[in-house]
Amino acid sequence: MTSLNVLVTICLVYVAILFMVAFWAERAAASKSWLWIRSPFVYTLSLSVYCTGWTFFGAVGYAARSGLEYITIYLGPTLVMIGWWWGLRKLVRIGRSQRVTSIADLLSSRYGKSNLLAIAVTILCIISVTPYIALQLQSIALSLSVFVQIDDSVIQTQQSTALWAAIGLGAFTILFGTRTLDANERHHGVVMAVAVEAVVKLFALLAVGIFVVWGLSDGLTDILSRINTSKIGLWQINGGRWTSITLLAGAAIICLPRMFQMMVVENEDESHLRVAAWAFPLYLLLISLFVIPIAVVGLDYLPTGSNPDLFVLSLPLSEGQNGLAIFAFLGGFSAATSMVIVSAIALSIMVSNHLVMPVYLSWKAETAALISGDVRKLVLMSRRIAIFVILALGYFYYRLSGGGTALASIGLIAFAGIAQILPAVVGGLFWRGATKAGALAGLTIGFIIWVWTLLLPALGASGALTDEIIQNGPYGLIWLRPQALFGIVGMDSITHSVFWSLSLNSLIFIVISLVTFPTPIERLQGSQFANVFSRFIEPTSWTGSIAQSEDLMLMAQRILGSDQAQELFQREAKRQGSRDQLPQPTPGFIETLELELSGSVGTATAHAMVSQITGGSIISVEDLLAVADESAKILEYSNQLEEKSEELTVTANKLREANQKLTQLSTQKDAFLSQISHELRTPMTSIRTFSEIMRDDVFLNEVEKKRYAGIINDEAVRLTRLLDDLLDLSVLESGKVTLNSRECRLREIISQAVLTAQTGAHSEIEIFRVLENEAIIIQSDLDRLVQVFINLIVNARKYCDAMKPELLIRVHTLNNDIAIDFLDNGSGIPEAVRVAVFEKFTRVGNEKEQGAGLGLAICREIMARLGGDIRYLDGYLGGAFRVLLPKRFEL
Amino acid sequence: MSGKVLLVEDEPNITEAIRFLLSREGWKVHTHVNGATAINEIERIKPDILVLDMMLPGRSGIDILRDLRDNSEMRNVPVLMLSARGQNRDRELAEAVGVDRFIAKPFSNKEILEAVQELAEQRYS
Amino acid sequence: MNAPEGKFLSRKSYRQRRIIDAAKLLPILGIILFFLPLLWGNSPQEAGDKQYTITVTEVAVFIFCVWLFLIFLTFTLGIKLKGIENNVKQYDKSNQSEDSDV
Repeated sequence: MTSLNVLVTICLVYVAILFMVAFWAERAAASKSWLWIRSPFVYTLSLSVYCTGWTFFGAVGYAARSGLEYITIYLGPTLVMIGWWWGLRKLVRIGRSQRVTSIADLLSSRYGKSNLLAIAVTILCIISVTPYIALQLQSIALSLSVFVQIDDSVIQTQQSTALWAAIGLGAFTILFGTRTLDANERHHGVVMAVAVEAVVKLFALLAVGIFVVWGLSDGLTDILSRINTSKIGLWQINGGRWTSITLLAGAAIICLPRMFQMMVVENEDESHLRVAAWAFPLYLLLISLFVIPIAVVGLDYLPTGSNPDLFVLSLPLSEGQNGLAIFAFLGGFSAATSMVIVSAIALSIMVSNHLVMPVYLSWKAETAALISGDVRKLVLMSRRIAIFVILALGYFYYRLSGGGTALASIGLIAFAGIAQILPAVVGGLFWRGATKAGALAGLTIGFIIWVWTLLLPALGASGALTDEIIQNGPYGLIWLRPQALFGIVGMDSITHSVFWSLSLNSLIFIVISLVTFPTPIERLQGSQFANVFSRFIEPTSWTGSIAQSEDLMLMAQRILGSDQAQELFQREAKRQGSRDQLPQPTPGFIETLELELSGSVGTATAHAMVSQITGGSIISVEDLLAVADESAKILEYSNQLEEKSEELTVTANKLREANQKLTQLSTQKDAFLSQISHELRTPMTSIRTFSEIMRDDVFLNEVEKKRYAGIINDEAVRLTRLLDDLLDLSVLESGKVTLNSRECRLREIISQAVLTAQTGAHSEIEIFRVLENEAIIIQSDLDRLVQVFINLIVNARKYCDAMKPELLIRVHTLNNDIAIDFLDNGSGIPEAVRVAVFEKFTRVGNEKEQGAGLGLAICREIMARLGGDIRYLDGYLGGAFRVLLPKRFEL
Repeated sequence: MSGKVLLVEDEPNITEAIRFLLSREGWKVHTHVNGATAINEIERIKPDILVLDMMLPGRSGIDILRDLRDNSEMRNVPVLMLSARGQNRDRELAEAVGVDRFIAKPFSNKEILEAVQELAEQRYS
Repeated sequence: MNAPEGKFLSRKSYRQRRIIDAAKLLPILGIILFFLPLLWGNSPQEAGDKQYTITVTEVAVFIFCVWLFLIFLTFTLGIKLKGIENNVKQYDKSNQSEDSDV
């Protein structure tokens, strides 16, 4: 017998190695030396977090009790994986394009960014996964106790083992799962550690299998005949269980928080899925290959009454193969730990994003905290606490349930709970008509049935249900008996629960979806999800011509009514000779559309709406659709309520308000044109007047001539600069600018900008920099970037009104961005005009300085093109601008 | 013909050009930059002719003129207004508040000289 | 958003479409094969009555063979689909550059 101390030491060393692997992978990821960290095989191995301690030890026990049925646990995922082109590919693409962070986030995003739905899913996941975590702690404790002599202290040893395992896993998860707040929620260290553990558990099980087949038996033929003569040798199968467990396992690989985390969130590259589609089923095949042989030989060799869940360990131990036993123990340890780590990360993301943040934000409503660093800290802290709480819950569940056999069945029960998410996911992915109300209703019904028919009965006597209720139903209602709902008896409990919960879940989901009406955002998200492959989606921007057509279509439907709009679009599509249902948004078509729309909502409104979708936007498309929705409703009202003049007045007022808002937009455009005119005509006036003076006046002396020629020249230069700026701006705004991406050290770019901005200046500004922070290599269009920096420095020099003007240029990293702050010691920009400074022709104070007020507008456009941002920082005394630059910018 | 002209204009180069043109014809030219204090300046200088730019820092030329015509002892001074925005609406606005002449920038020197001349003749006839 | 193929490419595009069809049908084939053993009987009640009983090893060998076969098919189709995916990607890119020169 191996002593406990040796085993614990081995565990610690193994965990230390995992720490090193994770640490190394994080560093390799940060320094971009990707290479094989990004390999599709690492991705495939990381998916094996599916195979937990329950599958590692429990599969053999399962086989020893019920024969081949255990294999359905692996067949479900196999079917889902080989059908990747149809389902998973879409899921991963949506996950990436919508920046989804968890399964809860996926549903929330699909159903109109509803947080209620996210909270429901999060709670469902916590309830289903906590017992599952308890199961892993139990498997670690149980497997360790096999090595210890049986005596009184076993139970205690188990409990303290579970406690220490929970603490250690918590530490590991917090260290590598919440180190940074990555916008993509990717954790390279964890993925790598899980991949290593995947290899260990596979080889451990294969080693035990080979030992059993070729060591304890005489090879293949012998083992086959042993199986046939064993008590599980006869092919006996319950079709209901075979079907429902395959279904559950298939659902689990999509819906389990840890699987979604690994498959979608941690996915580096969509093409990895193509490899995982065959490699992961192969992994599953290998890991289930020796299960039956081990089970059968275990039944043969070991004394009756020994726990079949531990055959993987007890078989080598009973044959004195201590090394092999320890290897097997490490395999099980790997399986359990990787499951706990990834589950805790996935759940903590859900808890922090959907439970903590909404509460925090509504509590600190409308403060500017959104952009400050506080929220990041809060998110990380809430995740750490969530991880700790989840593991604590798992541990206490383990303690309360007594760590006995009651836990063993919890794996399938958890699967059944998680599977309740499936209808909403599948519906959301493939059916545009699915609505939030439908998803929520289906989920709730499924959840209730699952709790009633499976979870509560499984908790047994210690649970909430008495035998009386199980036998006769609550309050004597026979048809509500938990294991024979609506009087259907004779079904196995899993089959019974899966049948009722999933079928009613789907039914309610579909019916409610059919009768409810989605909000505009839901419709938008629905079409984005369902059509993710038919167009190029960027998460927030609305580029791409087909996308425009679709948005126009959505809007037109709201205003004209569905049939009329479709007819209009189809007619146009036919005229353009396009086979697609949607026409290209040609100028001609847009004009026609605008005309049609103006018949319903007035010209100004129609124009503003259409140009918002086809051109740049000041208000968001969502706002606009909301306006459109409102207008459509108003029209509907006014038709219905013609006689009720009071309400008509109300609707008329609403319409007038909407119209006013949109007329305002059109006034902005006029103001812009007259501004341009003013800026052009002013220098032209000076030029014309002085050139006429020089032409007509023969009595000018040399000094005067020289001076007037100088003025003409200055004004001509000013005019040219203005035209350049305008051209620059229009090129940038139209997106037709050509950018040249190069790499360079940030320090050199800032130096160049400082040099250019300071030369030839009447009054220099003193500039402070922290050179060591500027050593970052960036990739961007350097000329454009220098242009932005020069503009900011020159602005500080011109407008800083301190006695002794100083400018601090500060570089630091912020999430995935590099932030370059320009802080001066002047009096800053008054709060009222901070938003306006980035608009065209805005000048703040100080009339003596010339300039058309286009500089910051250009800066803003440039930064948008470079994938970054520029903003004014509130909360500083002096002028404070922040330039945000993505670390990697690919053109 | 000569007298006092007050030029309210914020562009230094345009101010210089007009000052040159008018003083050559014998006018005494006063200048002022700020729209907000323009009325006080007009009442202090008491010009024979007022040349007023439309877009001024502090207060627009239209507002100044409206105030001048409504309340000031200088309400009868002939006013020549300049505008660089080049829109017909500006002319209409200016005429509505009682401008005597309206010239859009850029103008020819002759245009300005003739306008001032005409305003002076009106005033003294 | 179909790739802009000329008539000369129609044969190739036809092949590609059929490969995608095959990839979509694969899970259905998998379901049929994996559920075939259910029809082989030996339900618990009537197991004793049969003259010939099917053993677990037979079913297991069948399932593992089907499994390997499906893995092989997925692997082969995956290689063929790689080309198609790349085409689509390239098209996406060229299409995007029409909207903006970035």
